[in-house]
Amino acid sequence: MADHPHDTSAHDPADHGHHGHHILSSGILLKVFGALIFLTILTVVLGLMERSGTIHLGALSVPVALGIAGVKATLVAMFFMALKYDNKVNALAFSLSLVFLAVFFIFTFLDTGFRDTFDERSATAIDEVEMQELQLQQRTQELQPAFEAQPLVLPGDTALIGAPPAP
Amino acid sequence: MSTVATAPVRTEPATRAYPPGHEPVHHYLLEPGPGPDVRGFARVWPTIKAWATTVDHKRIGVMYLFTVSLFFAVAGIAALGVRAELMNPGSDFLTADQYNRLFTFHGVVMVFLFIVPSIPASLGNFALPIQLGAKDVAFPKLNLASYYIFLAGASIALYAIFTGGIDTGWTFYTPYSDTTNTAVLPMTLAVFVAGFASILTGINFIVTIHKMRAPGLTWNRLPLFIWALYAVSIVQILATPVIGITMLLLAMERFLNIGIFDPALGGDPVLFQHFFWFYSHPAVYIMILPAFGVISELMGVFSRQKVFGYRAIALSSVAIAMLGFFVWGHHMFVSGQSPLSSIVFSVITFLIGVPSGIKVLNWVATMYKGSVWLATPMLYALAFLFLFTIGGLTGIMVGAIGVDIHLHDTYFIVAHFHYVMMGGTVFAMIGGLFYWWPKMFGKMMSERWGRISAVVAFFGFNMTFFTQFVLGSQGMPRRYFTYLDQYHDLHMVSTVGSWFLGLGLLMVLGNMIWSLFRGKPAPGNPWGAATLEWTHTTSPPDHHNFHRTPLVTHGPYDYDALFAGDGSGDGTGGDGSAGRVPGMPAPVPNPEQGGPQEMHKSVDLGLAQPKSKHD
Ligand code: HEM
Ligand SMILES: [Cu+2]
Repeated sequence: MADHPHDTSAHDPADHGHHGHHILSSGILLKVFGALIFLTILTVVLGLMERSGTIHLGALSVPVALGIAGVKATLVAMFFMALKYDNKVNALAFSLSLVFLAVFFIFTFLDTGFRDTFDERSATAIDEVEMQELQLQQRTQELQPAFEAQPLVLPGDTALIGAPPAP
Repeated sequence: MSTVATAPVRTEPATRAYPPGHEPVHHYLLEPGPGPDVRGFARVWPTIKAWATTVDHKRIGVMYLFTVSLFFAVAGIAALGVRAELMNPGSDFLTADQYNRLFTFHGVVMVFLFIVPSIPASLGNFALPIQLGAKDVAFPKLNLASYYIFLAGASIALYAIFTGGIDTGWTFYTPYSDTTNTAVLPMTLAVFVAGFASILTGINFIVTIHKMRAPGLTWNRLPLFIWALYAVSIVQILATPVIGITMLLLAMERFLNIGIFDPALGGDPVLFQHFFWFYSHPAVYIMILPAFGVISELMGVFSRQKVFGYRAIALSSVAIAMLGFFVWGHHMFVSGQSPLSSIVFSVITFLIGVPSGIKVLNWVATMYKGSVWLATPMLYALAFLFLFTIGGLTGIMVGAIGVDIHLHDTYFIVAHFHYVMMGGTVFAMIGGLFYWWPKMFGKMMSERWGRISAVVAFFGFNMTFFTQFVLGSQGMPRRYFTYLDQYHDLHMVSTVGSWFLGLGLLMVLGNMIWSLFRGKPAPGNPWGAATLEWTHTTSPPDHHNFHRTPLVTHGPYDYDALFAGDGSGDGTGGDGSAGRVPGMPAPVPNPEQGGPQEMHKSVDLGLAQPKSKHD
């Protein structure tokens, strides 16, 4: 694009604002690009370090990752989408959509973050439920022989309640 | 190509009887007719083509109206089937599996293909630009695109239905929708696609309202229908993408086995409900807010009074639109969500009652000491008032956590949302249809049959759904195809009621068809309304709505400004700004002097009533 000779006409001050497109110098574009690459590498490195146990972010892990992603998105919106130089109303509309996203996150977090408050039974992971079921089955199997060895109706009882029905 | 200009060649086919726009009778419904030499299919083809490629908001509104009415009819017949099966316990003519598919079909079609686009895309598309004094919406081609995208979504839905249908209910809850082998993916794709139609309509309306109001039409003079559509558009734009994302996530899970909602893959099924209701609760306001707008118009016109609390009604629409984003968790009280969020969502749900109450009280106050005219639209509006109040109040009831634990997933919920969606939105839409029909088609509907239909439908509706409140509170669960004997009597009553309801709606349909062929020609302003679509155009309107952009000199409900005074219609009165406005440009001579569409300049200036081509 930059080698296209006609593009330079957009730098003409008299033309400025007519097209509503702000032309950024390639220097700025490259810097932003560099920042984006750096942040991407940072995310990956942090992820690897966390996995290998070099650092422990704990509860901060997700916020940090989202924070970096947020900075990147902001850079893209401000420079590549030129919101920084655009009518401020557009920037407002754009940020409102972020507020909107935040509403969804915050309210959903009110659920997922507080599931076992008030001494409530809360959702159990399915593998846990399966494990309990397996244990139950094993225990049943263990007890089965002892259970069958003991007849339900003892010979003495038949006098009182009649013979058991044929199986 | 030669560069030498030749004498102008007549490119117009010689088969036109009149040059376009100069036919003896011309309005947006008519195509310039071909000459008598054109026969057969070639006679109708230009008309079909003109309609299919039209960018006229009026025609698109009419096409939407017929499309959504068709879906309403189909889904309505499905509903009668569901009710018939429920008349007796056990299987009558459907198996349990067929029953599940039938009620899901009913729900999905009613919600996504009927009620979401219903009022905005049909009545809104037709009336909004005219009420604003504009020639069209801001992006006419986008408007047409929205219609075709909607058709595409609908076709995919039909495909899903013919390949077996789905049995998840319209809510597509995981984990069931992850595992059922019915056509969940095509159906969710259909919802995804149809959503874009909704978004395009919303964008179009917002830009039109901001940019294309006629001179003098300040925000405080906007008809309340416009305010309602404005609020709806905001919700459409913000909320609809979320259902699209949700459906994509569901597809990703089913196709790629990425764990999002399915616990077996490490997902969280309750998260699906968060996603779903984050769209679908605001969506219930997409469904009801336009109805509020229609009712505000009707209350003003048929009480012959300024709408009481104009600003409160306008802003409460916006307030509802905003608050509506913070209450979705009230659908999840028994889903296992945290008690903390249940409490927060419950409190905000109660708050929603405030703007809704403001509206209802203001409508009642509008009628107070007015001269209420019980024409058909008003009868439907009154039915709305009654039914929506019941629907809204029971909403507050189930918004209370303790009560909802008892009532969740029972017939009480079914009754609640039918009171708002059917008793509210559908009744308002029919009222609006009776109201705008003369403007749309230039024909009056039968007043007598209109009134009879309103009474029959109102009666049938309550018989069908009030019983369901009782059934639900006694513990009848929803989405079951059979039930215990103790519920038999009430189910019977409900089913019989559904026949009355169907009969009432059939009368409306008959009335529409009858009026197209036999209806009395409609004058320009049969109801004596004061908004631009009645005061400044004929019935039906011209292709471009207005001959000259109208100048708005009074509020939308200033009947005294229009009709009071010495009878000359010079409109002195109202807020005092009516009458001659200093600095007003001199009227431009009308090139179509003498034509049937001619209107006196005083019409353009808002000082007199338009005449219809029939007067
Ligand atoms: C005053 C305003 C309203 C309040 C406070 C309210 C409250 C509620 C609550 C708490 C529920 C959940 C009940 C449950 O599932 O246990 C519910 C369900 C429902 N409401 Fe409303 N509502 C209101 C207005 C509306 C409107 C205007 C509509 C539609 C036009 C609507 C449509 C529905 C639907 C479709 C459901 C059932 C969803 C499902 O589970 O399938 N509501 N409402
Ligand atoms: Cu809701």
